[in-house]
Amino acid sequence: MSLLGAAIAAGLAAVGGSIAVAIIVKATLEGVTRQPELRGTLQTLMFIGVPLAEAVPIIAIVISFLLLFS
Amino acid sequence: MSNMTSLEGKMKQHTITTSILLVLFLVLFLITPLQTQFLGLALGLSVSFLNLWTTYRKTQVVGMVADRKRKQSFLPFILAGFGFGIRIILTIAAVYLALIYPDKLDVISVIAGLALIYVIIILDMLVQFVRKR
Repeated sequence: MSLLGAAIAAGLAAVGGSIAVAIIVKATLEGVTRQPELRGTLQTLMFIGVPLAEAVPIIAIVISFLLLFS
Repeated sequence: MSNMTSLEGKMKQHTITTSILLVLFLVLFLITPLQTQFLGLALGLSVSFLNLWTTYRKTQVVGMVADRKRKQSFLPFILAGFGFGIRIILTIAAVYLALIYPDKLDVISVIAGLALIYVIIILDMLVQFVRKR
């Protein structure tokens, strides 16, 4: 049962993280294409946003990994 | 000197903060009896800083792609493409190390160290916000 829980947690976390990062990168690319002069600002916002979006999936994957070993 | 709100400036700022914290943890590891905790914090923070560095490279690649600049090396693109996978592998490796060496590394401290970089990012955002006001 813990194997199933770990698999579901890791899978859902990966899906959530991927969607979040994809949305951020898409928005950044669209913004830079429309207004190239804002490239620096948008890159900085992406640099802040991507780690925060990936934080929860990474912690979820760590928890699922701990579930495997418990 | 690079502007502290630019990408390079932000990375430089996070590098300085992380280095100070790493040195602090290593000093505390040497002088206090809580050796497993501080070594775990140092390992977690190092891994999460590596994760942040891969994100920094990814952000640079996105900027290059948006600017249609050609880069000769494929390494940044590979790093950006497999970035999330690399970050997960590094994180799991750190936790695995803590699990197989429980007498040297504390698992909870490693996880706390992994989350510490997010605290640094949020504190940096708060400092920028307060400075702007």
